[in-house]
Amino acid sequence: MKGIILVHRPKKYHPLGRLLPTVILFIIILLILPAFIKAQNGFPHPWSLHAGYYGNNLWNPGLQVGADRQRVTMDKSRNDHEFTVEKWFTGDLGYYLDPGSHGACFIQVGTVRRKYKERMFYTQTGFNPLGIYRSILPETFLVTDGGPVEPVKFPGNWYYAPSVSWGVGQYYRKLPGTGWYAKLELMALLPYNTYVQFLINLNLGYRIPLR
Amino acid sequence: MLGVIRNLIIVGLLLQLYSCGKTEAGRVDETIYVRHQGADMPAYVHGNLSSNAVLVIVHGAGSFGLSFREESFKSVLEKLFTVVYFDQRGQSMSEGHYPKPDDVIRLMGDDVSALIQVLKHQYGADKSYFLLGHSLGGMIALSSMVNSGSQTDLAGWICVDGALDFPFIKQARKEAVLQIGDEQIDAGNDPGSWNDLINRLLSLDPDSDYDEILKIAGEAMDLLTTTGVIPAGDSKDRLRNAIVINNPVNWLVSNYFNQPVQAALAEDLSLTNRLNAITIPTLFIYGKYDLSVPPAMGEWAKFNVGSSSKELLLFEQSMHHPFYSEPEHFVEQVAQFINNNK
Repeated sequence: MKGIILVHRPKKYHPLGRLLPTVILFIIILLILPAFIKAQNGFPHPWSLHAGYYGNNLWNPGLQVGADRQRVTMDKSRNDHEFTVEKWFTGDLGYYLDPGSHGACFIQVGTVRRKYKERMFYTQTGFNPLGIYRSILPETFLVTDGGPVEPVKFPGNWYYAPSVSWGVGQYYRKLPGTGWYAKLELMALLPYNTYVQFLINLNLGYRIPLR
Repeated sequence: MLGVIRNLIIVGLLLQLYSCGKTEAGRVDETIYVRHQGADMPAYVHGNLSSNAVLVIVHGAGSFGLSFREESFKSVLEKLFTVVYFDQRGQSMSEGHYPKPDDVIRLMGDDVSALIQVLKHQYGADKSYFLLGHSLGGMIALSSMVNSGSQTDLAGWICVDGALDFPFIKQARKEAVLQIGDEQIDAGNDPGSWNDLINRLLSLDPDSDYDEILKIAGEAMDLLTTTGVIPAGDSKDRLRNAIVINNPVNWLVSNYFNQPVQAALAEDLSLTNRLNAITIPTLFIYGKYDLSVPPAMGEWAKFNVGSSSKELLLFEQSMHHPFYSEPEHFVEQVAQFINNNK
């Protein structure tokens, strides 16, 4: 630069800004949907909603909201020890921000198995075979060999994203389905670069039943 | 229920605020991505945007762009120039979909050329661009210049411990360990341990015992640190960059699945015969005690490079990372080179 100084101001990176309307819409749909679904006999609260903090690699902040649909409850006994197992269908929408590099949103569908060891806490194991993950990148430029530099619209990549999770939750006897939960989730992104990428996520949230 | 929605929106807004960087006139702190041949690669751009010099850093094997961003870079180089820390294809936070490349080093060199094109497009074509490649990044930078033609866009090349010739390095590494071992025994620095290393090394063949020699070289570098020959250095910034600023899981997994240095080793890659095509000012920086890429590599490279303006600096208290062990001296030399050639 000879004699002229061009001052570029940093462009603010707001991937959440692009996604916030989608998140709000999804929450609204989750709230309205159960009103049209008839509860089945045997399950006092067959639907529940949950929402909470979602930390990709533990500290990149995000949020996750979703709905659970109860499908079976079984009272079991093993070695004179009685416990209850609940199996739920579950669906989630999540978003996180890795400050300085990217954001991402994802949708997961799968099952979760909750085991009530005591009437205070439960352990849960989840498996989401169906998952779609979309990375949201800041300003991105495409370079083709011999071609011009072109800005990319809606930069990011789609990945197939199955996940497994393990965690604990609070069982509130007076209102089953209500309470805090905490879980660790391992998500795989496929295909990522030439192979795969794994994400470790911490999920802390609250569940409420739908009446 | 409305309360839940309200709280979620508040959380979202807080997150959005968290993602905003500070804005100062004349200063840049932003991340842009380069999409090239199926990969989306982040370039972290920091520093003085009113400067007419841009320093582009190409990291080495198993590393990541922001690993360089320690206090000396922030307080000196970023005040003087725009500094670009680049995550290469398959490394750290780079992502995308692409098949395993046939010639990954050449493709990574093409990526660097693509990055330079983007930087010129974004920050001005008439600025002076300097390429700093460390270790394997030195070879990738060289490939970018001689195979992808980026030399015409550059005002200078800084080669830091550049691994430009793997067959040469194999031979030089054993000789360097033996030489430094003898020096340390003469100096009385833990002669027992050095004798043990030398005895294990003597019977090894540089071609067929690559891994074992590399392991002994690593032990020798540990010994240089424990005996106080090389200062241990403050690693607080490094730890923060590795675990908090960078994403350690992404880095770890990417590094496991994508190891371009293995491809370079497998084909005994050498680009020293292309060094005569380099005509831009070149600064070679090597650590005197570098047993990973010995300083003899720097001497050989300086001898072969075609530039009329060329210099080799040996850092007297450094091994493979002179920017960690002698940070003030390092940034001073880099700044001087850029100021002399921009």
